[in-house]
Amino acid sequence: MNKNYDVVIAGGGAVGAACAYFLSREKDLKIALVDFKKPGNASRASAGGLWAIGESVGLGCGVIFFKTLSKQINEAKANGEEAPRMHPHQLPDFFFDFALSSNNMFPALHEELREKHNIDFKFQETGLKFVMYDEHDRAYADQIASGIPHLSDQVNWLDADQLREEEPYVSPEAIGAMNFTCDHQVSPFLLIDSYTEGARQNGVDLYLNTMVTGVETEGNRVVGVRTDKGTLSCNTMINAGGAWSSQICEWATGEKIPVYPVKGQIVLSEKLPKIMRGCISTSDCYIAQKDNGEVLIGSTTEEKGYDTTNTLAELKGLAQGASKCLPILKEMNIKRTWAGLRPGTRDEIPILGPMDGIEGYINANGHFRTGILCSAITGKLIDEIVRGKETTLDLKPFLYDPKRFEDLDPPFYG
Amino acid sequence: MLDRKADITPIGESQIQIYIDDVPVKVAEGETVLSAMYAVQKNKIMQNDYKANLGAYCGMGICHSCLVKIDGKYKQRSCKTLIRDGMRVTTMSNRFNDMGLSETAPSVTSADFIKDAAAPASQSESEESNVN
Amino acid sequence: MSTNNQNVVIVGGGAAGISAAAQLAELGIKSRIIDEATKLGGVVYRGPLRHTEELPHLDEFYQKSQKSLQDKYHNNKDKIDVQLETSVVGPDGTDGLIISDQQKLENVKYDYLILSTGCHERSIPFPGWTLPGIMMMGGVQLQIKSGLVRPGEKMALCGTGPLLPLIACQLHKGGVEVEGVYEASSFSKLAKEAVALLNKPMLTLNGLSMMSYLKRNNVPFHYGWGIVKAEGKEAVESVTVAPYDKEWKADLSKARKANVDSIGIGYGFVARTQITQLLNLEHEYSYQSSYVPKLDEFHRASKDNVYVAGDTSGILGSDGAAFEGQIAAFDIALRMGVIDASTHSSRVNKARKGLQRVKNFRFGFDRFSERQLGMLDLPDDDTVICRCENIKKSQIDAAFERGVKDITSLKMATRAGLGDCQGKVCSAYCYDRFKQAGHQEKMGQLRARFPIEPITFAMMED
Repeated sequence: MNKNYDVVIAGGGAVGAACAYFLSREKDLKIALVDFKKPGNASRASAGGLWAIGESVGLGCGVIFFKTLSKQINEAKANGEEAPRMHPHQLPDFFFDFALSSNNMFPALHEELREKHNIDFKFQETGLKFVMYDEHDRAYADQIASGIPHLSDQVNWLDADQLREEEPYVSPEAIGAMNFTCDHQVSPFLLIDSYTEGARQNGVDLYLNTMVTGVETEGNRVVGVRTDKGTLSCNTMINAGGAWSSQICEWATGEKIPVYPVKGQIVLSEKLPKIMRGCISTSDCYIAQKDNGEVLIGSTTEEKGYDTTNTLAELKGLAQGASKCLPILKEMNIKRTWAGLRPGTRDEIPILGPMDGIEGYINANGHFRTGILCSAITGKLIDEIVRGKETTLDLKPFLYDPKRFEDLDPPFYG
Repeated sequence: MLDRKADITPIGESQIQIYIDDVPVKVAEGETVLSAMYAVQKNKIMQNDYKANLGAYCGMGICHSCLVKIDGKYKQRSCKTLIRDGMRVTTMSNRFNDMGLSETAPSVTSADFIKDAAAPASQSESEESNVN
Repeated sequence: MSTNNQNVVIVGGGAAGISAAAQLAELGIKSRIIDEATKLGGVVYRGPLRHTEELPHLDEFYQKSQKSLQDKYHNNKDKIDVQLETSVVGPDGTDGLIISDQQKLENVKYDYLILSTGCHERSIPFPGWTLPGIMMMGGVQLQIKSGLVRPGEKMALCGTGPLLPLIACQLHKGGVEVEGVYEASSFSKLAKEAVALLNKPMLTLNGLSMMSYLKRNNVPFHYGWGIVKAEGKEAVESVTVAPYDKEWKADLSKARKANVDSIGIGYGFVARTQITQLLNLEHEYSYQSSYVPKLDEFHRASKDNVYVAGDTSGILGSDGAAFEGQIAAFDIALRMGVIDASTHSSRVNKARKGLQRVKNFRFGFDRFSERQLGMLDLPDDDTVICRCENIKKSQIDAAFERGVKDITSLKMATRAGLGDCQGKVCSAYCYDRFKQAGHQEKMGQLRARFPIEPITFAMMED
């Protein structure tokens, strides 16, 4: 094989494919995208939610933890014991900016991919409602709202009647909802297909079903990416390896960046008529009805290495959570379940940009729960980095720095 | 009463019956709903979510094409379900149709855009496909 | 050594499952058979589901075989626990299964597991294949043998192999007008296998007598002919058949149309590997049977305490299944310390000899009926390939044109295989497309997912 490229992208999931697409738009660089779909790769497993505020404030996994903690606190108070410390889970402001910037790119991106490349990734403006059942949920919602005063125009509150009006199938037990009006959804695999096909039409060489097996360096510079089909020489490589990024980084730099697999299980219903207007998050799970009518429920947060088996206890938790929120689901079939491996980092912030001591290597990984959402801004930033332009957002907090991962509180999700 | 015309051997005196689309049909203990439908020469069994008429295909629970509504429950495989006295079977029933909803648009999949995409790809310099 | 505490669970109560259970019972070992049907015997030997005075349409040979299998169970009932109308929906950890009776879920633990889940038929798409009234031949047989009803009044049978004349006879005896029987392979090809068939003279004689029955009753039997398309408005009304060349490509210039109200299609079988996949066993591609689990000589799978016997391990029919069930049983008995190594060796070898004779016979038919890829030309652009998701052939073609090389990418690009049946029906065609395109090596496997039988959300309550 042995071809020469300006840029080789290792990994063709949401982030890698987005990088390929954004880099390819000017049609001036020789680019290769190398992809091998390993079992559990997050892009295919994803729900496809663009939940910029939701994920930034720790809905989903966060609220489940909070609910347990809140219960412990009340029990402790009742017993006259000392209450455990609360960890309000909100990501830093620069992450909000990152997520919201990406979110804002989607309408134009959707248009562009449709006009220029005739592909539709089913962008749907749904909003995301945090449905509340009790005072614990309301306390949590209040805490979230108080943490994002600058985004108050994106948040509205629905009382029980208003909720029922908008979402007639939501359980009568619900007392209301907090709605994030800018949080929407896409079809995750159509998104990746769109980026990939757009890139291909722009001249990017696709190496699909091709595994990256190593990186060639000369001194402290990357000169090529090894694959099971031969070596692709390049000036720059992008590590978009998802849950497998750590190994790729080690091949390139000798150092392992701390990106590790975080398993999430999903339950999917049979195709159903439209029973939800928007996406929903509760203290048990999130629920999204996709464009083809299937209702997707997720997720869990488990550190089980690269294991992607489904486990009944976890699936039951998700299914029960969904039935509680939408009782109509009780008689519906579960069509299938799966598990994906999110590329996790201890501080829950992605790792982007170059690394000290190595030339021709750029990180684009560690996107944890927001790979789909942040693929767009990542693609844009990586394009700017490769071309030496000033970046749209300050890269500093995203650069790899071992100090980021020191002295962290124990992982939020256990 | 719908007559059983396609029995290979007679079912004999039967005290039990089911309703197929509100019409009573005599049935025999132990037989499946599908056999009862075949006995009265009904092979058009369901309409799927895409409005295609379907009937039993594999006869053993694999193909999901013999689905009927039984006692209010949708998508029951008639080939695997035994009759019960008084059972109400509805053929050609589909949750989408019954909820009064219009046909959901077929999903556009990524494979659909290849026909138009072929044009721009041929303008690239390389003569070979850029998919490896 | 006490075996009372060790659980042997057998999934599938057909020829392999019952043989295994009976063999274990003869050695004093208890087992539990779980089967999704309402009676034991599997698709082949379940027999009538309702009461009947007689079975005029089922020949003696079959009735004898059926009784013999049922007797195996009855003579060992005290050591065989049977749970019917129960399906396995997935694994439970490393040594258990989750089972469903359509009302609730339960767990069952095992020390040894025998998967004898049989096979289902290979679906071949052609224009009109989804019309009501078109059934695969196993389904036709189930209606005749177990349902005791005629699935149609005027039927054409299109397929290949020994089931064709058998079902034609059963249908005719049951009162169906058999419009014609269309065997895809040529007679000269069958004649070449005459030597192989002599491995099982009784079966061969039975086959000859079936052919002469059909001839006596003026049921047309055509070699080297096959399905082209089916037509009809609400249900099937006509079948079009044509001569097939040796690649099974239809010569449309000689096509003939006949009015029928029912068609039986039978071009082969596919091993039922949903449970073996969910257990993460290693599989390998088999052109004949689609993916099959990798097994050692004792039918042990890549997971130490799991055995696979019968058609799930590769299509050999019920005779082969019985021997395989026995082999698995002997191996488990050895590991439990109930028999010693030399008994194990001699009895396994005996079963292997029987199995080899079956194979020698079957391989004759397998070569004769080997599927040819000419049938891939039958569907046109609008023919539905994945019925569950309404995916047409043109969409599959587009994905191939775009460079898709593995089944998971095909699934993602087209949604074929993402429907209610989890790809059981359409994957066979998709694998053949990959083979035709030269990607057989790396095409991968369409993975089964929990639950392999649909369950309701309500069933997930505690």
